[in-house]
Amino acid sequence: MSHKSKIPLLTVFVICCGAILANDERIDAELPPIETIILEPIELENISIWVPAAKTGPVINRSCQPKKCSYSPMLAATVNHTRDDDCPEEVARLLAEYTAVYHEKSLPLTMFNGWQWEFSYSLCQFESVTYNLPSRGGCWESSWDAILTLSAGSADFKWVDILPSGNFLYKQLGDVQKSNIEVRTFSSMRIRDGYPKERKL
Amino acid sequence: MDIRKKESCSLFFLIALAGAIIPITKGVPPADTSTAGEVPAATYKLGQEITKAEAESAIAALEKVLADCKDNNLAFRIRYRIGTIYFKARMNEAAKNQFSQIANESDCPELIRVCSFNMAGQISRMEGKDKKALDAFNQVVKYSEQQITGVKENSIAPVLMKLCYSALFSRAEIYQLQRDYAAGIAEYNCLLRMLGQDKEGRFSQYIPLAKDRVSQLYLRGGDIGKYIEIAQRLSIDYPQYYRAGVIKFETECVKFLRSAAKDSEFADGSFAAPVRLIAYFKGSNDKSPAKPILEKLGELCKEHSNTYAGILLNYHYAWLLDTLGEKDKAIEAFAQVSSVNIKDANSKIQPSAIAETVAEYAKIQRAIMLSEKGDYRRALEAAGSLCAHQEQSHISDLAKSVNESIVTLRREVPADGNK
Repeated sequence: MSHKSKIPLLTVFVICCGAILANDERIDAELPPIETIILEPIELENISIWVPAAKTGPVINRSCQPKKCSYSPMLAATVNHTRDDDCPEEVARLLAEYTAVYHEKSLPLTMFNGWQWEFSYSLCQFESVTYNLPSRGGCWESSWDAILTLSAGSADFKWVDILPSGNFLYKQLGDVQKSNIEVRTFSSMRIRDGYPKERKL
Repeated sequence: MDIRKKESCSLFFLIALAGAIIPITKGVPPADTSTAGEVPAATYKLGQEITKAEAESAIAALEKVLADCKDNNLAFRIRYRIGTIYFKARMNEAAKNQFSQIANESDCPELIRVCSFNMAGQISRMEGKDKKALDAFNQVVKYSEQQITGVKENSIAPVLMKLCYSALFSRAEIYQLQRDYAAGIAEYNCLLRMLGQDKEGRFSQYIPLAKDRVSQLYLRGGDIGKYIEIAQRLSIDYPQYYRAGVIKFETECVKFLRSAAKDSEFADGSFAAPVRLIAYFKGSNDKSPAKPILEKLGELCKEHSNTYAGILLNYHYAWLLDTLGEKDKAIEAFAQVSSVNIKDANSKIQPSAIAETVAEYAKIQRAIMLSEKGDYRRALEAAGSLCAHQEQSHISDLAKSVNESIVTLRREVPADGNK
């Protein structure tokens, strides 16, 4: 066979190979991306700050008789824990467990529905005070400071598409798939310096 | 004629050869893979939430294709797909079994292996099976690290890095929850080592976060020296990190409490150190050691003004001034905190929920202090803006009681400030 006659044969051979390879690439392109899940590092910011906790008075007694009164300051701990519909319950539970560590001295982790940190009523109660309210316009007031521990955070659950190129994309779903939490607890309540005040009108 | 016959024979032979050899080298019979590719593609359209019935039907179709599939890579892709379908249908046990089986087979393609271990780890962690999660994440790290460091110009390196770093964070968080600080530190150190090796710095945003966390674990574990070393380095190397300014102050507080108050218990980390420092001076008659700390804090407030760290630092500064008896300066500092407009759409102060809370308490404390001075008009202005709070909260209740108190004081003891 001459070289000239080999050229069309080789052309046909190359076209056939190309067609087969192209068909194979098409099949690869048809395959869906590889899906996997990622739980981003839990974002949790904790702060502890002194806050004005309670204020009572001034209470004025205009009667002729002195009075003995008492006051019990109470501060409500709060938990606001939510999750988006597309966020698995287990992810929301993880977030609650992770946050609870910073409040375990003040507030127990009570789970509801298998994932939600919820409580009906929880108060940080502090020592009550009694005070004498003098007669004839006697005036009394007090003020308290306390430490607020506040945690605010979220857990972000994501579906990731791994493309044939090796790049990856976060799947754009209707809603974000997050669970959010905010917990506030109080401790170390104390009477503010300079109080209680017994004022004369 | 003979020649033509010979040439057509050659042509036929070459086409046949191409048809036979190329699929063998690729390992995929064309007709077979065409079907095999379409079925997983169809299941992809099912979405993220699928019913058990939908899952069973899709899995049956995939298994049918799988039985005829001779391409190893494709077969693993199909088996992996079956695992994800189980997971989406909340059939976690079946999903975990599927992923574990795939990941442990010797001829599994590396990306599928890493993804399978990742899925097994994530599911186990969600179920609270920490031991299994730790093991699976360990395999993610092992195999992805081999690929990242072992293969030059690896196109899948970014995704492997993402999965690897995510696995390391997960392991560290599990250990942290278990209070195994040494193990948590080891995970973060491994993460930091790997992040440092990535010359392109694709995930460099994780570095300050990991350093912050590892410093906290050292402190919680009782190694105050190591905490101070890492925290100081972090705040110098990453001044843009949102907590950089706060870290500087927390470090100062920890140092002081360790030396002056002989206080070395920081079981929750450093975030409570500033309030403990203020509490120390509230209860101490000797306020002089507070002066250098106050000066340092004042400088930090200026350095980080109009940032999240700046708000928090200024707030601590105001309370420290109040504790030290510098009331006018404290009122001014509280005014600065409460004047930052966090709700502005252009505000980049994050986390905004915390900054808002701090600003609101600053307003109330300023109102209380102005009222103590007898400046009732400005006190009422400060407290009044918070009384309109819709929700029932400590802030709204407190603002109301402070407001009522100021109104009564203004009426009954108007000259109080002059006494």
